Amino acid sequence: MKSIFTPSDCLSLQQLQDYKDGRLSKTAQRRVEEHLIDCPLCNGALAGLEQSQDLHQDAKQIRSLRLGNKRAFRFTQIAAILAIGFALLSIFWFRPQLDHQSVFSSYYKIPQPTQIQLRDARNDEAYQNIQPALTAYQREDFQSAITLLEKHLEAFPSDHPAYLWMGIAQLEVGNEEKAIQFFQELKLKDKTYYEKASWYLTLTHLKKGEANLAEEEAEELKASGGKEFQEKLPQLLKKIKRLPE
Amino acid sequence: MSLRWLKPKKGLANWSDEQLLRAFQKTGEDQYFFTLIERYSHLIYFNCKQYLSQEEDCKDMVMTIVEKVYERCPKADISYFRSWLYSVIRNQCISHIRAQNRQSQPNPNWEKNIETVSIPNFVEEESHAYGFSDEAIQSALQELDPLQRECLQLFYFEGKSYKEISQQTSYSLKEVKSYLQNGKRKLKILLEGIEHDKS
Repeated sequence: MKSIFTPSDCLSLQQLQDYKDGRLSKTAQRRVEEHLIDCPLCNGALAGLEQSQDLHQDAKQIRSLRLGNKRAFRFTQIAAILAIGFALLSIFWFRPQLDHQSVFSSYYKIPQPTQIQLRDARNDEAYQNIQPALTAYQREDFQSAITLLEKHLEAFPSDHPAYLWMGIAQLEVGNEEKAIQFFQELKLKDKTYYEKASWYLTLTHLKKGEANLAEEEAEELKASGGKEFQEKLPQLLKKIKRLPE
Repeated sequence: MSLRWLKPKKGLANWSDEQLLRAFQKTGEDQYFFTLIERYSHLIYFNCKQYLSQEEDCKDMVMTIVEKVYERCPKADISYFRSWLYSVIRNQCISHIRAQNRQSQPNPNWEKNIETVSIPNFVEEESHAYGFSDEAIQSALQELDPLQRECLQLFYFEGKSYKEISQQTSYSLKEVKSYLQNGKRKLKILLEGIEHDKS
C-alpha cells in the first residue's frame, strides 16, 4: 500500500494511445491507471485523445510542433526584436527634418510693449513721444511704426527700449540686417535689455539661415546665466545644433 | 536573449523536471526550457484538444501556452512543474473559450469537461506522503466516503482495473475514475493530518 504514493513519470503519446485502444499488457495498463489517478495532466490528455477524430492528423501536428517549436518560437522572438529595432531606427531616421524657418517660427513671438516696462519715470517726455509709434506697432502696422520710431530715436537716442521695438518692426517687414543692428546696439547700450536683445538676435540669425551665428549668440546668452529664457534656450540650442550647415 | 539552445548540452534528457526548471531559472538558457517543455508537448496538445476541436486551433493554443510558460517560468515559484503546467493550460484554454465562444464553434463538450475534469494535486507535491504505515492507511481509509473507499480497495488491494471495478460495482467508468482520484486525494489529506497530530 505504501507504493500508492510513489510518483511516476507522465505518459508518452504511445502509452496513451495504446491504453485508449486497449493494447497494453495487464501490467502496463496497471501502471497507466495508477498514474492516471494522480495526474490531471495525463487525465486531461487522455480525455482529449478520446475526443480526437483523426489521431493520425493530431500526431502529425504534435510532431510538427516538436520539430518546429524551437525555430518557430525563436524566430518569433528574433523577428519581434528586429521589428522593434527597425521601428526605432525608422523613428530616428525619418524624424522630421528641421529647417531654420520652422525653428524660428516655433520660438518667435512678437513681444508686446505692455509686457515690458515702457515708462521711464525720469523721462516722461520720451514716453509721450513714443506712444504713436507703439500704437502702430501694436496694430502690427510695422512700416508706420518704423517711421515713427526713427523720428523718436532722433529725438530720444537714449530711449533704449525703442531699439527693441525697432528691431522687431524691422524683422517683421523683412529687414533682418537692420533688425540685427538694432538688437546689437541694444545689447551694448542697456544691460536690462541684454537678454531680450540676445534672444531676438539669435532668432533673427535663424530666420536668415545663419545657424552658426545663431548658435554662437545662443551660447553667449546661455553663458550669461540669464533667467528670462532659461527654459526655452536649451531646447532652442539643441535644435539649432541639428540644423544643416 | 540567448541563442545557446543551438548547442544543446548532452544528457539533458535524463534531468528531472525540477533540475531543468531550476537551470532555466538560473541561467536563462533556452535549451533547458525546451528540453522540459518538449516532454509535455503531446500532453499540452491533447489537453487543449479537450477544449478546442480544430487541430490548427490546438496547435495555436499550444504555442500560446508555451510562450506563457516561457514568460512566467523565470519568476514563478514552481514547486512541481507538471502540476503548475496543468493549471496554466487549463486557465489559458478556459479564458480563450470564454472570449471566443460567442463567435466560434467551441467543442460542444467543453463545458461538460470543465465541470467533470477534477484538478487533484499531484501526490508528489507533498514529499512526506510516501512513508505512511499500513495501519495509518487502513485507519484513514475507514474515514473515506464508502464509494471512494470501495473503489480504492478494489483498485489497490485487489488489483482491479478501472473497467473491472466499473463492471463489478456498476458505477460508470467516469465515476470510478472520479472516486479513485478524489478518494486518493482525501486519503493523503487524512494521512497528513494523522502525521501532524503525532508530531
